[in-house]
Amino acid sequence: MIVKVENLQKSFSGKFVLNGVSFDVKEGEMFALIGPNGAGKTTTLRCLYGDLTPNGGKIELFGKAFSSKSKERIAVMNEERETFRRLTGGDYVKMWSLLYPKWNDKIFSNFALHYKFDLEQRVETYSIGMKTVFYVALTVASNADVLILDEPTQHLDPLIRNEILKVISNYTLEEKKTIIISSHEIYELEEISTSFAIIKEGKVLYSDTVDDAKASHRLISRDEKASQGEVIGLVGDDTLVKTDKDVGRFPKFEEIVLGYLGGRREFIPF
Amino acid sequence: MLNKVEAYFTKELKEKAGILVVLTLLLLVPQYSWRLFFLLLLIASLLPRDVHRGKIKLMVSLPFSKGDVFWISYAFLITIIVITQIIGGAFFNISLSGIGWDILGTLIFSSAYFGIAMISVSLGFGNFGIPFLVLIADSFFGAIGNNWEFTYNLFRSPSGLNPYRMISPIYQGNRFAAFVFAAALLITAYILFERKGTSK
Repeated sequence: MIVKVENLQKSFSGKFVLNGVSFDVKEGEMFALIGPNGAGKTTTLRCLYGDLTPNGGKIELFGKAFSSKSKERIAVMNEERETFRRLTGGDYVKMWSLLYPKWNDKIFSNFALHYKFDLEQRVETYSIGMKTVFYVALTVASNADVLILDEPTQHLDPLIRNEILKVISNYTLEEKKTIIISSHEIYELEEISTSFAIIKEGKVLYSDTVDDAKASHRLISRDEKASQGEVIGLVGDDTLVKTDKDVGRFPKFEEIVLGYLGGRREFIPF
Repeated sequence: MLNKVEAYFTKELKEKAGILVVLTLLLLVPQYSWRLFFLLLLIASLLPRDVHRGKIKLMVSLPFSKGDVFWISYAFLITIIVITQIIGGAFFNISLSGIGWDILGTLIFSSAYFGIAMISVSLGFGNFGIPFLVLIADSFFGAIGNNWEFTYNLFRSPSGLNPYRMISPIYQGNRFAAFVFAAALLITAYILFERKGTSK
């Protein structure tokens, strides 16, 4: 395991935000942390790279307990796209190349040319979409063994979003690196992620590989009996069940996510 | 480690260029009490301000541990102090041993107040207000038993010795004791900063 999280707990002012989060990430995986806003995704990621100190639980990176030494092998894109106020694009490149021993200038130059980064300009003045692409460029060029990307496609137009998804997907497939991605864009995650954890209210509801999750769940219509499996939740007019029996139909990835997140509650406003 | 130091120093010099230039010039002022005040301003504008404003998150998302950030920021402060003291000493024709003695005293003061400012922000208070109040208290309690006649008569111990004055970061009645006290404050600040977390 390249990342192992066990029973992670974190509270702010006595209010628990993470309540026993556990998952494993293998080398070369694109692992997606999926959940609604406020589920605890960002808090989990911040614990992973040492920004927050957990109240309990265990984090192992590269087979060892978390240490500052392991941070050189992790590159992070934070959710808010916060930047240093006065640093230009060029200053950022210099800083990252100093901090990451395997920094690859050629990769960054390719990004800079393609997306026309102005390296003389202060990064703070970039548009939010440009900041996102700039951070993706930095993290990929860092050549780090693990990338932690918090909502990496937020604020991007559809064309660039598609390109960025392809870039980060290739980072795992061709470079054999690991990516942990947090998102609530469940429709795009099926294309790129190999494994995932669904998180809600600070707890992991379900964690698996995408293929195994699809194989072990079925969508059945509400008329059908679900006696031979565990009822997970409602997805539109159907019910998601966890079973190895050949009933109903195989669900899509997003249907599995919606089933777990929605549970058995139904919203009928009229 | 040197790469981390270079990256951090570059970032600080670019981000805080304006205030660093002004305060560096003001630190050349030879008058001790004013220099202490400007030193406090300098300390408050470095890491304590970043922590207070929640800006430290950015550094910690890079390959810096909290310990790296704390100690490199401290090293940055010390570097500025030593450079300004040497320039100031040369400018005002102070002897080499005088400069050395001055630097030692300033380092003890700065270490203590860097510790106090970091303790303050780690506990959720401000980066300047609490250290400034401590500075006033320090100057008051350190003065007891010496220049202030009224307090001298009122509070002095039978031996006439004010033990606080020995460790006071301002008065440094005993350089070694003041150094130990400053080091204790600095280490306490480091432990708190590591444990309490840095982000809002």
